[in-house]
Amino acid sequence: MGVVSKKKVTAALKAKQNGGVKRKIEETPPETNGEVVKKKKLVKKVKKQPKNGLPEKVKKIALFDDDEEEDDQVIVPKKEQEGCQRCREEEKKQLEESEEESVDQFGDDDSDALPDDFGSDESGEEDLSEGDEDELPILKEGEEELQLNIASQEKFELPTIDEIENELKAAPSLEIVRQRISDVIQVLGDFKARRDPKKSRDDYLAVLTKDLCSQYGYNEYLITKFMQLFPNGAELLQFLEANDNPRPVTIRANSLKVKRRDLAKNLINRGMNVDPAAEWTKVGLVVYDSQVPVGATPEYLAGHYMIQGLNSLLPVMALAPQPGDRVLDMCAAPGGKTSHIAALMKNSGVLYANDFNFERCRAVIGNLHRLGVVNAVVCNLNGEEFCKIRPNGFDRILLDAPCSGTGVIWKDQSVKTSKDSQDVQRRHTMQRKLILSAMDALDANSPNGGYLVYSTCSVLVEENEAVVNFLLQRRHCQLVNTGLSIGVDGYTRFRDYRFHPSLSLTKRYYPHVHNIDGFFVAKFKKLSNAKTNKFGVDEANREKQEKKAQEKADESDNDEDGDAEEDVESGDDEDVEEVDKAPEPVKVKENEEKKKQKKADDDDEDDSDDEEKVSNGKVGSGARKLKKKRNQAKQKAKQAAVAEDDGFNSTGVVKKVKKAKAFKSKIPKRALARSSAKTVKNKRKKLLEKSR
Amino acid sequence: MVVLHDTEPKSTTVEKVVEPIIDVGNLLIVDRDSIEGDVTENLLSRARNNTQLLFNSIWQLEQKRVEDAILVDLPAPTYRLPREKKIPEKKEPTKWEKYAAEKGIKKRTKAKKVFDEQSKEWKPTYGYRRGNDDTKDWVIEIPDNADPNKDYFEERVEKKKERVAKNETARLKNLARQLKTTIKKGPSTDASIGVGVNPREKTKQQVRFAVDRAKVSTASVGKFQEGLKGEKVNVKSGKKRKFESNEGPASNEKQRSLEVLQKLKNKKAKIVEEKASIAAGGDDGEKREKKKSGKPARQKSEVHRQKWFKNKVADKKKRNHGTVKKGGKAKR
Amino acid sequence: MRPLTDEETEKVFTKLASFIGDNVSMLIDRSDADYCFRNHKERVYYASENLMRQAACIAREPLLSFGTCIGKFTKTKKFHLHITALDYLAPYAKYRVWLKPNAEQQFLYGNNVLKSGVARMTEGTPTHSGIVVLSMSDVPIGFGVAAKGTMDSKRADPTAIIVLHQCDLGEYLRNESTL
Repeated sequence: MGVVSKKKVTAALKAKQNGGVKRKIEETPPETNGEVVKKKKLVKKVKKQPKNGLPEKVKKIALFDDDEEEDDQVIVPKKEQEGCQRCREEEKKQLEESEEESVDQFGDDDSDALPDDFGSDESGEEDLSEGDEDELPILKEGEEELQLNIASQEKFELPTIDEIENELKAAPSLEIVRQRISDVIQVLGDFKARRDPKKSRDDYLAVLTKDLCSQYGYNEYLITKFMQLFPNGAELLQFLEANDNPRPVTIRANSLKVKRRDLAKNLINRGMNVDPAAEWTKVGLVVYDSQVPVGATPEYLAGHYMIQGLNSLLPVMALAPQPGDRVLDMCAAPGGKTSHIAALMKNSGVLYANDFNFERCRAVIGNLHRLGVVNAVVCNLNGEEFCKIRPNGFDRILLDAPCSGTGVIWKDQSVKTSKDSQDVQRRHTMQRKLILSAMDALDANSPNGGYLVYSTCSVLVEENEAVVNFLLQRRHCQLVNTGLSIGVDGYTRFRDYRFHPSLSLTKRYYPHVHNIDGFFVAKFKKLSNAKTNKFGVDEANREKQEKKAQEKADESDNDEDGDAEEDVESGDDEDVEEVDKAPEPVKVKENEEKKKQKKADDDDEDDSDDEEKVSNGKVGSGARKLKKKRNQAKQKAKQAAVAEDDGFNSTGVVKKVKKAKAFKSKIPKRALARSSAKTVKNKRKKLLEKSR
Repeated sequence: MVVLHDTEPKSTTVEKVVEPIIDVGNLLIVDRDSIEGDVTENLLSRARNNTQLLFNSIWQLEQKRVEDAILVDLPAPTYRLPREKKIPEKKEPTKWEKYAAEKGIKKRTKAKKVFDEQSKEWKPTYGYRRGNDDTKDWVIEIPDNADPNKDYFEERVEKKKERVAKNETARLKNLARQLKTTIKKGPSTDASIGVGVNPREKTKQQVRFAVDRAKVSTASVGKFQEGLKGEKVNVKSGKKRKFESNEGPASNEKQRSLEVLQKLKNKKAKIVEEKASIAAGGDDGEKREKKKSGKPARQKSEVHRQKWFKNKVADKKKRNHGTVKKGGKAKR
Repeated sequence: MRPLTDEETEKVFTKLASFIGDNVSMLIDRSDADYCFRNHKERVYYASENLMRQAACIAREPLLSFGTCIGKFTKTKKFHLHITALDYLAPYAKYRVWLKPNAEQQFLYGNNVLKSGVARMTEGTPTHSGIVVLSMSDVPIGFGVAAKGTMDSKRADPTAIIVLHQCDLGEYLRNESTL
């Protein structure tokens, strides 16, 4: 009981500073169990304290972000926001560092599959608290004291998974589960010091996963994903909490019809409490409360505004369409973003609004007409077809890809349980197809365009950074600044993924940080219309060098000219085919002539042209042999690519297993050909003649 | 000389050279005097005389008097008037009738009702609830040495059905014989249903259409159907809707729509004028008058009359068909 | 997608003219760009020529809409205006009627306009002419047919129907699937 008294002393100390903590301590737990349990619980309380102090702090900062901003923007001290941002960045740096160090630091713990995500957050937390030391000195003191106490106390006992499962099956008590979650996070915060030496990190994580699943109603796959995404336990909890709370209703003023100021005035007259939504948008309004249904006011019907989340303003702002552009919105339904684009284009140019789902297309038509958009073409196509229908036919494309919806769980709670790894994998595949198609439909040579914006309402890395990285490797394009003032930079490295460094130009949004739906925005600029991929480029460089060497040996003026030209060309775009045929000394001259005629062709075209020339020019000059050689080289490149691929998507090439042929004819092809009807007939003819 | 307007009553006695046929039942008199010279001469006086004769014979009949009116009962007509409709053709006798005539079998009529032994009632001989119905027996005595496991009830029903079916086929066969159908060898007379015209009797044009139709009746609407050598292409292809080209120059289209608009405007102006004049009240009286003098809606009897007239004309045409055609040919 | 035939054009223009009169020519002959009417799946679309040509590259089946849908031809080949045409009818309309705020809601639910709901009406509106319905804040909310002219409506009792409802903005919610 000595422990208890000590605790009370510290509590009294803290009471001056923090009323909330005091209240929590004085609460006595319901005495349902025996004395032993009671004792254990008290111990738990004590241990909770240091954690309680710090995350409370973090929470407070985060709260500034959402609540304060909502209530009154003017009052929000910018400094604090910036401070928050800074803290976050610092934390991130720390994270990265600790991630690198983690092997040394916790290498002796155990060889776990999850590489110390949860181990790393403690350092960040400490860093944070040090940063704010001047604000809460006494709290800090009390904390240290407690830490000391904890060291000498008995530790939190981790139940086994079976026990937890049984408990959850029987009658999960929310209070107990919540307590255990905070305890486990506590332990993981400083694993070395607080762990139970008999238990591994895996055990702790498994328990935490189970508890979180039962607490928030997710399936295990999603919880694991979120745990990886938010290694900081407190942040994870905040994120999960934010997923359950609805975002405020926001509307976008339709600048085709009204000004935001006038609209706000009208709506206030209707009995709606509206305010400008955020500093970064000129058209967004947030609705606090309304006496009339927001989606049925005469203003809504007259097309003065559109109900849409703040997050859906972001990709359009990133796209920045200009009047007169040819713009494509690949997944348009229900038309909020599309109409925003049209408003920015001032109803000029052409805007294609496409959606794969016919039923949802109806909503697009209705909304576009309501909002007075007259430059839109609504179509119901598969997004992959656009690269065939209009190759290089658009100045700007917005691809708001279909995703698992992990950023907008509050809108659809079924996401919590319905998504699994296969689902995400499927989305990932679909997104890669769509983004490739979108990039091919984009025109790199358009005077003020050639931009593709990719966005999802998911927070998973597989659906965001991985897809973007894939495109960077497949097509000749680069990421550019989105032009958005808010948001967290995208990951350039995440667990075992290593993405292109330019991925820091993408933006991520989280519900608990920005108080908008979880979101991701990336903006590309297309550099050339050629379809190249990374391996093609590598191969090209290598073979070019080889060729150079060969040409040096040849020492022909003509060849050098060509070489120089090819160098220039390879600067911005290279065709796989062009390089592939390079080692053919016979055709070098022809190739050069051809290259002078045209630059940057598609591979297919190139290929066919090539063959034609061979067949026209020199019949029987071993054209077939050359072709065979070329094919072999291609095959080799492909195999090399596959060999380098290490699985999911870190390299961007999906490993393809060769399909086993279902049926293999035992008759050789030639024999089969010989037994055709015509040959049989001829044979018979010959026989008959002979017999005569 | 005949004096038409004579105030003196003429004598009721008429003298005739040949006794005319008088059928009072039909109010008919047939003048059998020979006519000499112009037929139209003395027509009126002759008609009068004949009528006088007829009335003389009517006055000789027994008279009744009912409240100032004199009535007679006409005797039964003696003169047979010609038939309104043509006499039905005599049907070809059925096979049985032929046989019966050959063998001298006379038709015996059966009573319509028979006495039912079981219910002790008179019941119809044939048909529904007929008397002495052996299919309705509730017990059947199995004949000696017969198979006891056979369903004799069923057997009787079957036999009845077979008799009916046999009769039906005989009837149909007789019908076919009577109609003298072209399809004589067919297994049944139903074969002609849905077949249409016999291909041998088709006209050239009909054959042509049939061929054309068959040619386009493929999955590809005849796109890949090869024609025979020297075969005519399908002349009677369906008319296709034609629309303006979508990609035509916009100025044309604008011109066109402006023209349509102009037309509309002109039309509207007329209507407006009329309306305006009516509103002004100038033609109000005229309008009312018109309504009065206007014919009422066609009545039913009128419609009937018209139809009858139409039919008559059609009949005439039919009758004159041959001659008209000839005339046409001659003209040519 | 195809241009309208002459009969179709006539039908469309007659209907439009009942609302905007001679201003139909303003729709045909525009200064900013060439605009055209097109029939696509029995619906009439009004779009700039450039947009129409761009839309023509999408196949018939997946192309759902382009420009503005003015209305549709019924199966009996009558022409019906859609609410989506309001953007073109309202600015040029010859006859207008302004509704009181409480009647506004009634009209938006698809009811006819009673005399009690009418705040103001264009002078000289004849009966059976097309009329555009506006709210008091001059926002067009639909259109219909004048059941009574201005003169008649002045004499009519408060429950008399003044405007027969044809289309209103509420259809964006009610009939979203058939727009």
